Amino acid sequence: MIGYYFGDTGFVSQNGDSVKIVVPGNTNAVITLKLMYSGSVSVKLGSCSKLILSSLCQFIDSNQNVKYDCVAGEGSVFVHTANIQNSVQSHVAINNKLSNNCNSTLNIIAAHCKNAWLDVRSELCIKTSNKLNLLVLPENGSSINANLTHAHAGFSSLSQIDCAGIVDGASCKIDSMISVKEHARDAISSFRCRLININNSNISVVPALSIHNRDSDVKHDVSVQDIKDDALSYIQSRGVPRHEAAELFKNGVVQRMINKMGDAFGY
Amino acid sequence: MLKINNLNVYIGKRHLVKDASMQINSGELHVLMGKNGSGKSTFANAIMGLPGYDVKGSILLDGEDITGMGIDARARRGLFLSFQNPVEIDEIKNSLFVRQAMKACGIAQELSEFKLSFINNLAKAGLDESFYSRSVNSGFSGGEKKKNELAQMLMLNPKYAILDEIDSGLDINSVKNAASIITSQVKKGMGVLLITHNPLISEFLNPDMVHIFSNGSIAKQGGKELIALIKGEGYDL
Repeated sequence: MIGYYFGDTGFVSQNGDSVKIVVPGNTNAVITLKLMYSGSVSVKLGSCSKLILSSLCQFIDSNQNVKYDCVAGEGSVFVHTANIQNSVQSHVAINNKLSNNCNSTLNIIAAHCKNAWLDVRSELCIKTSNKLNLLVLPENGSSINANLTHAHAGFSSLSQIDCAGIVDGASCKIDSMISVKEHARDAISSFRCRLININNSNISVVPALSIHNRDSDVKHDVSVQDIKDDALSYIQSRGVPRHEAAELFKNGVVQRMINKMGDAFGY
Repeated sequence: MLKINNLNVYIGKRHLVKDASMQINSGELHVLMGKNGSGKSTFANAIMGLPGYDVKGSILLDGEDITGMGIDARARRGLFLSFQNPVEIDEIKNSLFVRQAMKACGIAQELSEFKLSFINNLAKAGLDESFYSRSVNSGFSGGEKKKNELAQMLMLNPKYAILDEIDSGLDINSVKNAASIITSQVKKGMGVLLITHNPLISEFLNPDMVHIFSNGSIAKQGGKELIALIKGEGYDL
């Protein structure tokens, strides 16, 4: 263990193999974390606490693996924004265990990565709310593979997975699993994915639902499409050249998701 | 002057516009009327250079042949098309879209000046401030989309505007307002081709010329009296 954080505000820069962050009960904390090597991050959030964690994964070498284990105490608010940049053959795993009455948002941005693997698993207890916003931007022969799991274990839990991205001459595979256990009655969950396919990318999105409770309300909505020609023509008709129109469209996709992530800080 | 010479427009083997010619000078208002499906929108889209049409004939904008130019190049030269069915673009904010369009057309404005000006023009068109930051036409009603087209026209201030059924989906007050905006722009020197199949909006306008389209051709041309004739007898003149 190289870092042990206990308090309200700070910056942790990793230079060893593990980081431990502990936020006591009834405390508000804002922490920025920078990860450059393989290792593990342990986050423990006390009950009725609030943690805004921003972590930047910018690995120095290729083939780096990072694992987050986050436990959020009862009634806590946990906002985690993970920015995965310039990663080469990296694997990031995030496990969230959310106690009763937790309110959690996980924002993940994966940009300029040359082959990245992402595993995210969130377990929800009673009256827990969890949002996952994922923005993927693979390009030029790279690939992003994401496995996203939301497991509802308590009643009246709410989860939402929202993915967006532009796949430009690259490969993107997103597998999601929403599972609702038998006793997790009145669970509400949705998986939404909007991907723009440019330059004959390979895209696979598989939304899986495993529902064992008849009172649950679970849905998925996936679209993969090219930038629409009629939209480009409309933008062009106002004088904007076609390549700029496409850029405007792509920036719009990114901006929309970033805005959504920004809203998460409004707790 | 926007001069259209013997325009023929095809989609595949279908000959949709046949030998249509027209000349719109700066500060003139022309009204193009015709039944549904008579080829009015095809004519407008072909002038703007929208893809999917095979076009023969020539289009001159202030003496320059724009027939082979792309849509954006025509727009930058001062041509504007208000779409019959404006596209919804969820991904782009209205303000960003219009600002980018203005930059492309060489109209430089500071952000604060732009914001004030766009909100002002949205209001003129009958839309409130919220439309500044909403996505382009996304979730707008039919009438709101048309008002947004008018606001864009006011911002870009083109030399020539083709308004394709700008009156459809508008209530009577909004039709009057649209007519007032058109009149004001024409007075300032804009050449306008207003396309409609409903004579109502023309009651609030004073067109320099009226053209009646039938089966892809201009069947009749004349003054405002043609509109009165259509009101009485329909398009089977």
